[in-house]
Amino acid sequence: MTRRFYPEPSCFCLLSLTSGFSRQPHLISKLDHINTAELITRSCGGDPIAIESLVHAYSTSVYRLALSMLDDAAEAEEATQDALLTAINHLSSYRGESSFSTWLYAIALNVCRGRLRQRRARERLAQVLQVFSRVNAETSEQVEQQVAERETDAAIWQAIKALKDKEREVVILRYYHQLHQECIAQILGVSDRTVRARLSAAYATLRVALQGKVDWK
Amino acid sequence: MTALTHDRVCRVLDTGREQLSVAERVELDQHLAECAECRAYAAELTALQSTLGRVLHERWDGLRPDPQLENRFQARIRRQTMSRRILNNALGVAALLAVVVIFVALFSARAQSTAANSPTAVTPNTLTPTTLPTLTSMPTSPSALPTLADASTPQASGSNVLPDWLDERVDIGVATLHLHCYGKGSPTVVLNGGPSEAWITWQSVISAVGKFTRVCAYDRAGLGSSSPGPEPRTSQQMANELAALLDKAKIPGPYVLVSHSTSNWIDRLYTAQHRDQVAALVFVAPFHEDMISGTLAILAPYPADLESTRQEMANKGEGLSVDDWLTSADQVRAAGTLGDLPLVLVAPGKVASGSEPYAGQMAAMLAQQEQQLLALSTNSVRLVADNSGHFIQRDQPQMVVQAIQLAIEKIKP
Repeated sequence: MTRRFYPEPSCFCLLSLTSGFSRQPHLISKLDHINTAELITRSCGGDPIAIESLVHAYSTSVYRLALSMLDDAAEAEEATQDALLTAINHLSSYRGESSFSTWLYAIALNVCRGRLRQRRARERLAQVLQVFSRVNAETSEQVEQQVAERETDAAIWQAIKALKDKEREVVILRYYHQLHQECIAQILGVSDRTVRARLSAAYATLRVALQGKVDWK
Repeated sequence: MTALTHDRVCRVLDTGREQLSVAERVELDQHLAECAECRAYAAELTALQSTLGRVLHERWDGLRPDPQLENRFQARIRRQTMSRRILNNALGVAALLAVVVIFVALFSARAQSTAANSPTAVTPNTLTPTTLPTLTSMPTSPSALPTLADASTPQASGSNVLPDWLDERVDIGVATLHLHCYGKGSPTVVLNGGPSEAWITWQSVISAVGKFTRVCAYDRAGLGSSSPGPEPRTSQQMANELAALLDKAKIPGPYVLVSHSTSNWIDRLYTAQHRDQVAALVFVAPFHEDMISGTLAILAPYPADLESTRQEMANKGEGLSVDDWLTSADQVRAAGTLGDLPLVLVAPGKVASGSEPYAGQMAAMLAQQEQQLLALSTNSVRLVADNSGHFIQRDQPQMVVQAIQLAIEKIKP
C-alpha cells in the first residue's frame, strides 16, 4: 500500500495544534523536529520506540482538544488515552489522505462525542433519581454554575455551552484551537461551506443569547 | 454604495476576511466605509470573536494535564503491545503445531499402511498424534491468554508488590472491566460509583486516598471503557462482577468498600458473600433499598406523578427496568445486616424538600431510611457534607476522604 504523507506544517497549522501551549516553546520545537511519516511507518511495524515518540508528540495536543470539548480535566485525560490507543490500534488505516494531526483530531473528536453522550445519560439518570426520591438535591453541575455565575465571563461561557453540539465544536476549533476553516472541515468530515454555515449560525445564536448581557463596545 | 448587499457582507464577515481576494477585500472595505449598519455589525462581530477566544483561553489554558499522564499512556500502550505480541506468538506456535500434527498424522497413517502390508514392520505407537499437544489445548483467543494484569503486574510472578498505579481492562469472562488503581498499602479502598457513573466520578478522591493507601475504582459493565455485561443488570449480578474483577486482577484484600447512591446495594451483597475480605464500608449519599418501593407507595394517590416517575426510571437506569430495581432491592434485603463491621455514612448537607403535597412525607421517609442504613452496623457513624448536593465526591471530595480515613481507623487491629 502506498501511503502519502502530508508534511504537517503545510496542511495544518502546527502552532494552532498546540494553541493551548503556545507559551511552551520547548513543545513546539520538539514537534518541529519529528518526522511524522517515519514515526508512523515504524509504529505500524510495532516499533515500541516509535510508538512512544508518537504518543509523546501528540498526547498534549489531543489532551487540549479533549479538554476543550469535555470541559473536564479528569475526563479529558481519559478521552486522550482512549483516542491515542484507538489511533495506534488503527494506524494501518491511516492512508495519508489528510495530515496525521487532522486524522488524529477526528478520532479524538469522536471519542469526546461518545463521552458527551454518556455524560448526558448520567445527568439524566441523576435527575431521575432525584425525581424518584422527590428531593431537590443540588447537583455538582448546579454548584459549579453558582460559582461560575460569580465570574465575569460566565454569561459568555454559558452561551457557548448552550450552543448546539455541531456549532459549539466549530466555535471551539476556530477560536480556541485557532484552526482554519479548511482544517475544521477536514476534521469534522464536512465541506467548507458547512463549516461557514455552522459558524454563522453560532454567531447568530450567541448574539441573541448575549444581548443585553455583554457590552461589546 | 457598492454592489455588495447587506446579507453578502454579513456572510463575508462571518466567515472571515482570509477567504477573500485582494479585490474583494477592497470592495468590502469600501462598502463598510459607506454603510453604517454593516460597520456596526462588523464591530460587534469582531468584539464577539475576540471575546470568544479570550474566554475560552482563560477557561482552559491554566489547566495542565497530570505530569504522570504521559507516563501512564506509555505504560498502558506498552502493556497492550506486549499482550498483542504474546497473542501473535501464540497464534504462530499454534499454526506451527498444526502443521506438525498434520504431518505426524499423515506419517502415522502411512506407517500403519506400510505395517499392514509388511509383517516385519514395528507398530508406531510412539508416533501417534496424541503424544503431542493438541490444537484445542493451545491458547488461540485473547480470553485464553493471560490477562493484562497477569502478564504485566509483578504479583503474577508470586510477588505481592503491585505497581503504584494500574489502568487496564480486566477480562472477567462475562465482560471486560476497566480498572484504575493508585497508591500503595493496605487495606485496599474500592470505589463504586452511583448508577451510570463511571470511575472518573472519583478522580479527586483517588488522588487524595492514593497518598495513604491503595485505592481502586472501576467502570461497571456497560459504563465508561468497560464492555456491556449480561442482563438482567441486578445488584447481585453487579456484585458477582465486582468479585470476579478483584479476583482476576489479584487486588489484595482486606477491602474498604466505598459506594455512592444506590451502589451501596452492590457492596452489601458483595460483603454478604465475602465477609472475610471486607474490613469496612463507606456509604456516600446512599439510598436505602426501600426507597423505590416506598416512593411508589407514597405516590400511589398521585397517578400522574407515579406513572411519569416509573417511565423515567424504566428509560434511564443503567439498563435496569423498574422491576430490576425492585428485584435488586429484594436481593439486598435478603443480604442481612453488617454486624459490627465499621460503617461510615456521609450525608449531603444541601438537600431541600420539594414543593409537592407529598414532599414532607417523602423527606420523612428518606430520613428514616438513612437511620435504617446506619443501623445496619453496630459500629456506624454519620458525617454531613454541609456544602454538597448528591454528588459529594465531586462537591466535597475531602469529606469522602475523611470518611475513608475514619473507616480505616475503626478497623479492628
